[in-house]
Amino acid sequence: MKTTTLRRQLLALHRSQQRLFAGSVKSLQRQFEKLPEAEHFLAQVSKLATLVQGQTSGFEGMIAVAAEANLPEGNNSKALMDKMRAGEAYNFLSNKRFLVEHIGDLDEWRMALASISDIMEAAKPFKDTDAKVWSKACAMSWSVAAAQDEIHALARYTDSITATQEALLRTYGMKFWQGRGRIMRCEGDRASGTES
Amino acid sequence: MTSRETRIRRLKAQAKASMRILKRMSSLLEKQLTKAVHPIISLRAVQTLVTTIEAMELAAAGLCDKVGLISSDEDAAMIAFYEQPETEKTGREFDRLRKALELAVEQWDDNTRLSRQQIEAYEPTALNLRDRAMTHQFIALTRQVEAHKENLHALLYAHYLQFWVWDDKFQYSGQKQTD
Repeated sequence: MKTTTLRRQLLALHRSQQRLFAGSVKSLQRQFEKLPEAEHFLAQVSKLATLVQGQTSGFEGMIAVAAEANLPEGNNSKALMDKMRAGEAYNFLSNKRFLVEHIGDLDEWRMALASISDIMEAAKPFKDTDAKVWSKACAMSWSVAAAQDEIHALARYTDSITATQEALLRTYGMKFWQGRGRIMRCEGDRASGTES
Repeated sequence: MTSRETRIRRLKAQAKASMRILKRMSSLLEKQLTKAVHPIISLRAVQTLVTTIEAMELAAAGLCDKVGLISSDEDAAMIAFYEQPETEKTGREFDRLRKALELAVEQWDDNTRLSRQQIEAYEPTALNLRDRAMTHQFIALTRQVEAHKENLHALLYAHYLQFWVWDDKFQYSGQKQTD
């Protein structure tokens, strides 16, 4: 497959992935927006979306520069780094790093399970006396359980988006990482040493 | 909160979109793998992932369609559903496939860690860059497959379905405890 064809198909795929991610975020927000208890949960979802956005805008800037430069296949990291505005690759890398951290910190996955048992515990006295309250509590607990899987899926979507972006960067011969003191490093840089 | 019906409709639409993306990812990889050999990705690995997740989707859809929208307080109806041999068969199949999928992704991640580092460290010739790009495409596919698995679980929950196989026994949420 020609590299240009591969790039075009990967870019189209990347757009679809972004659309699916944004749609899933919106659907979770709509599901729980009127619930005051879900405030923290929704804030975490929004932060996830913001980080993906930041990473993607950096990525798009890098790809635009690479497409413009039209360099031959091979290692173009150094050449492109010199052409790029300083912020772009850094935007991509730093948001990517924060995203990994944030996914590790998503405590609401575990909190959701705890809140289910709280809901059911609180509703227990109503089980035989008020069928309506009981059935509402059951509905709520299933809904939270489903949301927990939805946020798991969101995290996996971001991993998948990142991997597609990495693949595209490779097709342009780009590889960057953050060195000591957050200094931008790239493959072929004379002082780059070994990558961690 | 949106209604249960709306939520299910949305989850189904999302699962459909996610499966479409997954298929595009795999066919793009398959096209490349039929023409070139990759050190750590095989055509078979790609196809196994796809057929496994497709079979999982089929099993989940079967269960969801069959159970319909039993409300959560109708425990007896739910238990009657779980007690059907067909439900247990499909449920077991879903659980078996889930485990196989998780194991396949986990093992690939573990077994290829060193090779992935090597591919990234080799001289970035055109050939090597193609290998690197394909590695990341395969990672994207595995993560998308995992996301889809989570989607299916969310869909099951939205139908008030939760089951697992423990000690080779088929168990489910709301099951009567027998000690």
